[in-house]
Amino acid sequence: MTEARPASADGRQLLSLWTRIGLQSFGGGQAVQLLAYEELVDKRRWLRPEEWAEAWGVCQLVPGINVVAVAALTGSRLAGWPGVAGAVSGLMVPSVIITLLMTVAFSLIRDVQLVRAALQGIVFAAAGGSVMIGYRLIRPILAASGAESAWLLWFGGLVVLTAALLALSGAVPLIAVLIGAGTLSAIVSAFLRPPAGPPE
Amino acid sequence: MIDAPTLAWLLLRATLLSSGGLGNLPLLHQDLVSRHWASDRDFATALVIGQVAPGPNGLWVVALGYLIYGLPGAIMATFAVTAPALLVVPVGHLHRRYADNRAVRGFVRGLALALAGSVPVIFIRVAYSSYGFDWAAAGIMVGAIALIASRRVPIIAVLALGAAAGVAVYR
Repeated sequence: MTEARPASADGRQLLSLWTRIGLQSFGGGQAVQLLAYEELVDKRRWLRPEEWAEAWGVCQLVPGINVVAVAALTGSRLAGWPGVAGAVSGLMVPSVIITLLMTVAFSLIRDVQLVRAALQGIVFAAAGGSVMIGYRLIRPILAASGAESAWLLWFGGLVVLTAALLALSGAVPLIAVLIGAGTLSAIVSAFLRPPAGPPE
Repeated sequence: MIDAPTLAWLLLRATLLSSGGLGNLPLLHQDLVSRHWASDRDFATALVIGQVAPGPNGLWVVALGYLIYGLPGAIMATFAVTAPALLVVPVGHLHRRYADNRAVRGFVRGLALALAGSVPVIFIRVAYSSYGFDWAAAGIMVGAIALIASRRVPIIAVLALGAAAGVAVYR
């Protein structure tokens, strides 16, 4: 069905497409993800579903905003560096400007009692959202670890708990916690062989 | 006084060592609050704006940059969250060669798990120290978790319900 895809996507098309995606996605990353999939994969067929999935996987490996990385990587696959420039500036420029305008407005009115009350409600709803974001990050990693070895699963759970407790206590510099967790996990993963079986 | 090169470096460093829109929150919180360059309330306001504004949630840093250091702060923050993501283009080419290395995969996983464990903790701490915590706050939080977990309600609607609940309870 989707074996052939139109070869032509240029930087300008990507610029206008990602501008639209960025401006429509009130509510953040998940909204961007849904809209971008609809446009790039379903409607225009510039990417196949498995190419999209692979792009998301690679984007977890680089720092920064994942959605920006997805825009950059798919832009580069479709149209080289002009594609990267078009997709990333389309996603970022209008959204950054609106975010700035909202910040100016908010900083003027954040002491109005009604605004303060609304902000207080949103902040706790968003805090709940951050719990779900954490959960949705942790679950696939632990599932993948558990598929390799039960020890890796326990180790991963221990890393999450330790990091949460250290963040709560604030006693240890978090940068040390993060690099320590990465290093420890690299060592553990390198030495824990998966049970003998056919390679994946 | 805020020292601009240091601020730029702290913003960039927090992003380089994290992933996802909120991944830089724990490091930035520790770095900026300990220097008294930002308050918990600045963080709370910026996080709300990042959630409500269009585009990626990661733009909350742009709001934070503006709140603590004006337009130059916002520009530094925009650069800090955009530039590292562009690494994806070379990484995309290298990926197939090293993705199967156990140590590399282990490092990425360990870092991601530690981040995922600390982000909600810091988020709740920021909300708590700027607004306090009571039964209504706990209720709003649990309600939001339930609505998002159901996957039936768009995030923006959950935030609007949070705002309405806030107005009803705290006005």
